[in-house]
Amino acid sequence: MRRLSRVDLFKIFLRAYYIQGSWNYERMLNLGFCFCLIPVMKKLFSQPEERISFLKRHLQYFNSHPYFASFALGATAKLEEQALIEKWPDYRPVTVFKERLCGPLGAIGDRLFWGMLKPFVAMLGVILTLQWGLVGPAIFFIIYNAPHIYLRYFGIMRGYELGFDIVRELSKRKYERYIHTISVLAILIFGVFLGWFTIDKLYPTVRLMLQFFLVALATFFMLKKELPMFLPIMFGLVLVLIFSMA
Amino acid sequence: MIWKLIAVFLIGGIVGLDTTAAWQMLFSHPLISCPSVGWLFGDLQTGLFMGLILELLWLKDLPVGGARFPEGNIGSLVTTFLAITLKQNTTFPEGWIVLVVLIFGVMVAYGGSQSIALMRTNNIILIRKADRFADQGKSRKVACMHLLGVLHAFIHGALLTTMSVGMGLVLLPPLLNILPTNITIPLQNIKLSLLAVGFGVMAYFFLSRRNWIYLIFGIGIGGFLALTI
Repeated sequence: MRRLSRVDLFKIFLRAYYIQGSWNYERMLNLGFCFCLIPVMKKLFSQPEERISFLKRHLQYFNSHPYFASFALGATAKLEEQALIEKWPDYRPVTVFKERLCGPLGAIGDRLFWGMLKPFVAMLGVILTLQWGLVGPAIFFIIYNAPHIYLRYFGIMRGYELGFDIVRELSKRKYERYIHTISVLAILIFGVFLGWFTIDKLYPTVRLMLQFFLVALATFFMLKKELPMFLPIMFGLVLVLIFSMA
Repeated sequence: MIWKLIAVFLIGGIVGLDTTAAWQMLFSHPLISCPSVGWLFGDLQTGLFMGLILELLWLKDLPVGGARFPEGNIGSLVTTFLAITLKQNTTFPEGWIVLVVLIFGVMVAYGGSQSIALMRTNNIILIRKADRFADQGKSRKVACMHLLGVLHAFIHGALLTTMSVGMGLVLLPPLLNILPTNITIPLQNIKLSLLAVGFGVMAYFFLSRRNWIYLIFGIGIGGFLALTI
């Protein structure tokens, strides 16, 4: 009986970097998901009917956070293998499982990476660039990509190891801890920077301090009111013009 | 100039890919792409300056699900390229050049969001074809349809960048000619204002009723460090 090897899983890992390549409004990540699993199909199925059924199964709707999709890819590869070995009468559990994973994978990934880690690392990068120039972008790139690449690899391996049980791994409470830690760390660093920046750079010139806090507060409140991003940007630039003319 | 436009085309394509379609390793972000463009076109300092002030601006709109978000990465790339080119080839004051290209970059970013929606709608054609190939069991062709989607994203990014740069090079110098460029706009002011916008965005992300105490604590430490070091 054919089984998936580490090399096959590594092929999925490499393909997963392109999972969003054909994102569409109809079935979202479906084609990307199918593309990533083609090595699984080639390894497990040799009959044309089996391959047709495999491709059609994985061209169904799928959506997730792109990094967290690795968990779904690993687990689905495992289920495909399991279904073949245990001779399941049909593959419906695989499709249902994939559908059920969409919600948690998207919710956790979007909040952890897009909503927390990315802004945190970007802020750190900007602060370091202000202080040490090109060191900032380099650190920004490394700090963000270390957990990113690890998660993509770990997700596939762990998903393959656990199969259906991957659902337990994706408990929101577990990731909520990381999110809280990052947010506390971020606000602390933000505060340290603000305190230092105000005393060291802004305090000598009252007008600059006024301009900085006026724009920052206006931005904060505009975003809280869900106004589009171009408004605070334009407000900041108009203020530059006014202050320059004055 | 032609080789510069070719370089802009390629970089725009790569930035377009990294933004959503492939990798997502964030080298499309202004903090990395702008200094790279600056280094490539002989003005690392301007590149770094642009990366610094633009990085935090576009983080608020998250690329989740089917959300339409401004193409901030491409807007920043266009802004940097135009700032460097206009600085090198014209005599307009730097402050005015930066101010005008920043406004132009914001317009490109919002225009880009419309074109992303168009690209994603067009991808449905690839899905239909992939369905047909799947019915015939042709996995290689199904994979090709996906890779065409990746190529589509590359071309989208490349064309959007090149066309915006071209438009900027035609429109901005006459515009700068009619502006009161005798008034000095200090770069320091622009940097401060946009950093303030960026930090407003960060406050929006991180500040909540649960953790404001950490902010006060941090400000205390930062102030103490600034006074003592």
